[in-house]
Amino acid sequence: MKIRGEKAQVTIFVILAVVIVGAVILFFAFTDSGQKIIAPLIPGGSGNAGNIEEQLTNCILEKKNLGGDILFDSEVNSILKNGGEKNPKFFYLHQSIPHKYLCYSANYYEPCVNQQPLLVQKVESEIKNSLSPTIEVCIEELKADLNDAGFDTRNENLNVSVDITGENINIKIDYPLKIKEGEGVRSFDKFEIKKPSGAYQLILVADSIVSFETKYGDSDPVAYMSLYPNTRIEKLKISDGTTLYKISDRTTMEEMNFATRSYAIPIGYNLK
Amino acid sequence: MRGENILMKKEILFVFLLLIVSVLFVIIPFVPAQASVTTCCERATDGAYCQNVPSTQCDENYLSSPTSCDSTSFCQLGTCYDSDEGLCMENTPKKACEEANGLWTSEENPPQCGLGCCVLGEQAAFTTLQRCKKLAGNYGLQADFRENIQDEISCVAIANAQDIGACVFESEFTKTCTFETRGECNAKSTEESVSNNQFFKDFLCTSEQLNTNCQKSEQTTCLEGKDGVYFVDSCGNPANIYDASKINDKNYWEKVVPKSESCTAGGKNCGNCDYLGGSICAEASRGEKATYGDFICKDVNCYETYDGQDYINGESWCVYDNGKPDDDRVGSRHYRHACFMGEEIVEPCADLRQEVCVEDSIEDFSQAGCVANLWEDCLIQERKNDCENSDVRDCKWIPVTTGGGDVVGGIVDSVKEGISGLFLNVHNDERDQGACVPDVAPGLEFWGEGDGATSQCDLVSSSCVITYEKKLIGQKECVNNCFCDIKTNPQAALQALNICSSIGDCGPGANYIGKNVNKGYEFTIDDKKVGKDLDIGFLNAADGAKETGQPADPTANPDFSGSQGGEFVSNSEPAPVSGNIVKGIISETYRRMAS
Repeated sequence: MKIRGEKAQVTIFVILAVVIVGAVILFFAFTDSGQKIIAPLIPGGSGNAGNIEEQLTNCILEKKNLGGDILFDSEVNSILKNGGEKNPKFFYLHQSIPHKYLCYSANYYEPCVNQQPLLVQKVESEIKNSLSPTIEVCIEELKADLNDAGFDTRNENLNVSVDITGENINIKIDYPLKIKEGEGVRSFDKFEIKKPSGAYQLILVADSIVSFETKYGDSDPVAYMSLYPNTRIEKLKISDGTTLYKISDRTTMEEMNFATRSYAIPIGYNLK
Repeated sequence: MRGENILMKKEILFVFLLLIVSVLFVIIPFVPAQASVTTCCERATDGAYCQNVPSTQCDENYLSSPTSCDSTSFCQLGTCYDSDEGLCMENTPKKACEEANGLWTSEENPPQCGLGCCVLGEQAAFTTLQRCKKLAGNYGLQADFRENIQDEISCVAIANAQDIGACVFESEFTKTCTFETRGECNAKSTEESVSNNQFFKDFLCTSEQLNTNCQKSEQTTCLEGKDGVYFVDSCGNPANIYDASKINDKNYWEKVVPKSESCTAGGKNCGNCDYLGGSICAEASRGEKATYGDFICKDVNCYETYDGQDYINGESWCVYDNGKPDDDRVGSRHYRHACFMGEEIVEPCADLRQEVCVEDSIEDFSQAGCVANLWEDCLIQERKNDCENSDVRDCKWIPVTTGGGDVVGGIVDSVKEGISGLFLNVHNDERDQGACVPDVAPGLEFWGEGDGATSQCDLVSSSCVITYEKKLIGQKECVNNCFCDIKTNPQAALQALNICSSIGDCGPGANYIGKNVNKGYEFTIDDKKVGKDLDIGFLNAADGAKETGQPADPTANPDFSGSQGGEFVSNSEPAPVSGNIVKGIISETYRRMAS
C-alpha cells in the first residue's frame, strides 16, 4: 500500500510538472509579454533580423486602409486598373474607371502614337510613390516597438525602390538601421519584401498590344490569349474610336485596364 | 411638231414633289466646321503627346508649331529603348521617351533593338540581347543569346531540338539528379556545391541505372509550355506523362517516352492533354479528381454557347442582334464571340456599325473577326459592278424603276460635293439605273449636340420636277418624270424610303429592340405636306401601331462583364421577327417590281 501511495504521489508531481512547463511554454509562445521577455535570448527573436524583417513585411503587406481593404493590394490594383498610373491625366472614363491612354491619335485614319513608353518602370514608380507613406509608417512603428522593448535604434535616410519581376513585386527598402542592445550592436542595411503578383505579365502584354496598335491599329485578343494562355483579354470599342482593354491574370485575378485610339474611323458621312 | 408658235395652249405644271427625309428630332441647321488652325502640340493640355489639335489645346510648357506633327522635328517619331527591360517601343515621340527615362533614337531598327534567339533552358524567345539577359536573370538561368538566328521559327526549332535528359551530380556527398538540358547540366560545373556532373540524354532521374536519390512518386504537375500532366519524382523533377496504369511500371520511369507514344484515353487515368484538341493540364477541381496526383486534363472547349452550338478552344464566330449579318437597325451592333479556356468571350465590334463581323471556317474550325465596314464611298458609285466589288467596299445595289421616265442629272455630282441628292432615278449612259447603298448601313449620331444625323440623311433628300402638258382639248398629260407622282405611283415613294433607310439611321424603320418608328421623312407637293391622305398603305400602317417608336439607347454599350462565366449578357437583345413592318412592305414591293 505504501509503495502504491508513493507511486501515485510521484505521478501527480509529474503531471503537475508537465502542466506547469506547458503553461510556461504557452505563455512565452503565444503572448506578447512572453515573447518580449524571451526575444533577446533566443535566436530569431524579435531583436533579430529575421523577425524584424518579418514584422516590417507583415506591416507593409497587411496594413489596412479606412475602408478595411489591404492597402498594398488596393494601391497596386488601383494603379493597374487605371492603366499603370494612380491618377492618370489623359484617360477615357468608363464605368467610373479612368482608363489611361497608352497609345493615342486624335486624328482619323492614323496610327496611334505611343503615350507611355517604359511602362514597367512607370508602374514601379507609381507603386513606389503610393506605398512610400505606408512604408514610412511601418518603419516608424517598427522603431517604436524596438524602443518599447528596450532597444536603442539609430537610422539613416529611407530609400524605397520597387522592382516588378516575373512572379513578384519586390520592394527594396534601403534603411541602414542599428539596434543597440546592451553592449552589442546589430546592423541592417536593407530590407526586401516580395509580394507574389502577375503584374509583370499584364504590363508586358499591354506593352505588346500598344506596340501592335502603333503599327496596325487593331489587335486580336484571341491571338494574344493563345500566346499567353494564363492571360484573359477583353476588348471594347467605343464609338469615338477609343478601344478599351481589360487584361487579367487567370491565376491571381489581377487586372489591368487601358485605352488606345488608333486608326479611328469617323462616324457617319464625313461632310465637314 | 409641238411648237410655241402653234396656238396650242401649253400648260406646264411644275409639281414639286419634295421628299425630305430627316431624322426624328429637331432639325438643327448645318453648322460648318469651326475654322481653327491645327497646331502640332508636343504635349496637349489633356496630357497627350504629339497631337494635331487646335492651338488653344497646347500645353504652354512644351513646344508647338502651327503645322502637322509630321513636319516638325520635336514630334518626330522614333524608337524608345528601355535599357532595363531590353524592350524597344516604336512610334514613340522623343519627349515621351525622354520623360520616361528611355533612350530615344530616330532609327527604326537601332542596334540595341536587334533581335536574336534567346535560349533559356528548354524554351526560347526571339528577342533582344538585353531582354535575354533580363529573362535569364528572372528565371535564374544562363543567357544563351544567338545573334545569327534571324527568325522566330528557327529559334523555336532550336529550343525543341535541344538534348534533354538526366543531369547526375554529387552535392553534399549525395548522388542526385536534375532533369534538364545538356547546356544547363554543363553549366553546373561552375557551381561550387556541385561535382562530377554528367549528362544522360533521354534518361529520367528515376532510372535505376543512374542510381540517384530520386525515386518515383504518385505526384503529378503541370509544366510551363507543355500541355500534359507529368509525373514528378521525389526530387521534384518531371518524369513522363501521367499514366495511372504505369505508375508501377519500372520501364516507364527509366527513359523519356514521347508524347505520341503515351496514353491517349484522357480522363482521370491519363495526362496526355492536347491543347489544340481542347484539353490542357490544370488543377483538378471537386468531382474530377485524378487517380493519382492533383492535376488532370481539363476540357477547355465551349458547350451550349450563346447561339446554342459547341465550339472548340480557340474558335471564334459572329453573333448579330437579330441573327442576320446585314442587320442594320438603329442601335444594332455586331459581335465576335470566342471560345478560350472553356469560356465564351464576347468582343463587340465597333459601335454604330463602323465594324462588321465576318466569319469563315477552315476544316470546321470557325474563325471570325471584326473588320471595318467599308461603306463610305457607296453613295458615289455609279455602276452596279463597282458598287458590288466586295474587295473594295461593302455596298449593295438597289435597282430603281423609273417607269421609263427620264433622269434627274447631276445627282451623283451633288453627293460628291456633299450637298444632297436622291438616287431615285439616276440613269444614263454612264450610270446604271439604281442606287448604291451600304450593305450594312452605318449608325449615325442622331443624339446630343451638333448637326446630328439630319444633314447626313439629307444626302438622299431630293426634289423631282414633273412636267405636265395641257392641250387645248383634253386633260393635262404628264410628259416628264411621271413616275415621281406618288399619288399615281406609290412605288416611287417606297423606292425613296428604301434608299433612305439604307444609307444609315434615316427614315422609317425599327430599332434594335424591334420597336417600330414610322417617322423621319416627309413628302411634300408644292410645299404642302402629304402623307396620310395618300393611298400608300404603309404610311398609315405604323401610325396605328400600338408601340410608339423610340430610338435605342445610344449609350447602351455592352460591358466587359457581359462575358463572364461563358454567359453572354448584353444590352442588345435579339429583336422579335415582327420588327420592321414598313421595311418589310417596301422589300416586298421591290421584289414585285423587280419581277
